[in-house]
Amino acid sequence: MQGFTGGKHPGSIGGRNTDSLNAFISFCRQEDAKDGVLSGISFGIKDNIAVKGERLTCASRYLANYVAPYDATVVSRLRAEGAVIAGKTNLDEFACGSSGENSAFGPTLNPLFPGKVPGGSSSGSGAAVASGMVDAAFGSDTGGSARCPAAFCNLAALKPTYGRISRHGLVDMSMSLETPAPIVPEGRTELLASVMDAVSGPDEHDQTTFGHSRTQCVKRLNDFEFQGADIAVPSNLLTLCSREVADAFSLSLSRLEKAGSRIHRFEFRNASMLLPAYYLIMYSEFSSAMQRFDGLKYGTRQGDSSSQEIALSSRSAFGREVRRRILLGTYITSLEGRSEWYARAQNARAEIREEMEGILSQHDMVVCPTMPVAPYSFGEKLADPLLMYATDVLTVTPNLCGVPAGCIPIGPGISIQFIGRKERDEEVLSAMHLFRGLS
Amino acid sequence: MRRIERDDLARISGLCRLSLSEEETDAFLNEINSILDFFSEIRSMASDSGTVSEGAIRPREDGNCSNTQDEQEIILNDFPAREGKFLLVPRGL
Repeated sequence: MQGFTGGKHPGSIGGRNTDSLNAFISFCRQEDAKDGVLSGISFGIKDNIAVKGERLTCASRYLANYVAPYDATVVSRLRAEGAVIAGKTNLDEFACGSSGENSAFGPTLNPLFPGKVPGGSSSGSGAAVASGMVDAAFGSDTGGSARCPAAFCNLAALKPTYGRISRHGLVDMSMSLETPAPIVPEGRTELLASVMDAVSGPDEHDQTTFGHSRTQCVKRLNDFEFQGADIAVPSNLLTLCSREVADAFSLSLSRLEKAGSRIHRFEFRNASMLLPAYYLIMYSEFSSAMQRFDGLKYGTRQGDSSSQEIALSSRSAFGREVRRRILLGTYITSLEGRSEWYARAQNARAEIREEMEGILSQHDMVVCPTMPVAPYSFGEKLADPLLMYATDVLTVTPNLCGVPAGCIPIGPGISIQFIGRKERDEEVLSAMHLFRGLS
Repeated sequence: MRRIERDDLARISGLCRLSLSEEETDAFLNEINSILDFFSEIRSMASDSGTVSEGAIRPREDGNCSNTQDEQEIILNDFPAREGKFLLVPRGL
């Protein structure tokens, strides 16, 4: 894919002057860091999250020169605890993708598995942490966009309960599904806990956070007990996994059983509805969110005639996957498509949520692999959107249900996913942390 | 399931203000119909009534988000073209 010539601020990150992975779209001007629990910890911030005074491109030609006028809440809270914002990381354009190949600034490379995709859409966040360029990163997770690159780059990530972290300053892709999500090296789940405690909790700028408390992940990091825990495993979803993923996951279940957990296999009744419900709702919300980019309010205004012609001209800067999703979302929410598709998707989501909440009410945790496949080659799935979409089948459920899900590596480019009850982010993170110590 | 035809796509692209070439129209027609066909499983839902069921969307209560003068100014300053207190937009007619 031809990269858009964007240009980065000169600078170095993690002692490296070059970004051969194309993990960053820009490097941030450095400010004096405050003292706090994250003092001196460097962060990459996905370039769909606002950092004041820095470009906010969403990896799109449309916003190539747009500068954010304020800090996102996650960024201001990181700064308040002494974190260093090192740079803005690459992504699939407007978070549309699962491989890191859809950026107008060119694809991100996987530092661990040459020739293989790093996963997306938070591709640069994953690559930047895995290569040691930064200590940690923030991605956003709409249907697995932080967990996928974490899995493909051997990292740990947590998609929190919807509303637990403010979305203020995140360029929304799908407002009812997405949330900012932290990514750290596999062995630094303590840092993940500190980050969650620093950024979570109510925010006056985002009413979806009202009623949610700040997490106590550090305090409860060692609380989860595998001994006697009831762990649910959706056996019909495992049939969608490659042999190497299934084998690695099977070994993980043995570790859990050896630690005294009881494994309960169940058939996820609504499994066939997961991808349709997720994608149809995401298309709908995405096409609505993208209406703001009309050539008038943000980004580069192209043309100088009527507002309609300016919009048509300016929006031609969108990449192919973005345009495809806008078209689909517009059709699904039109008078013609609404009852046939949109209503069905919302009803399916309600059934999925009801089923998942029922399973979680009877078990301590649901576990499954994060991705059904290990990292694949560049271009392998790019030409066929359906092949790409299918890789999201194990990650979309927590987003549809608003529950927390965290992942931790169990093999090269393969990870296990812990899914917990709503508001039980601390339990999920504790399980991730302690799982690493199981033999 | 009814296929999306060229006329449908022309209307949809007009609604969402995307300009499509002939070549893009052909490609998107194939892809969109394939995608909707792939997702057609959702049409088998027994509970479907053509409308969103009660409780399917969980509304949230409106809270008091901040909306201070400073924030308004930050957002207005972000507008690409201004003249004095006016925001400049292209001529509508």
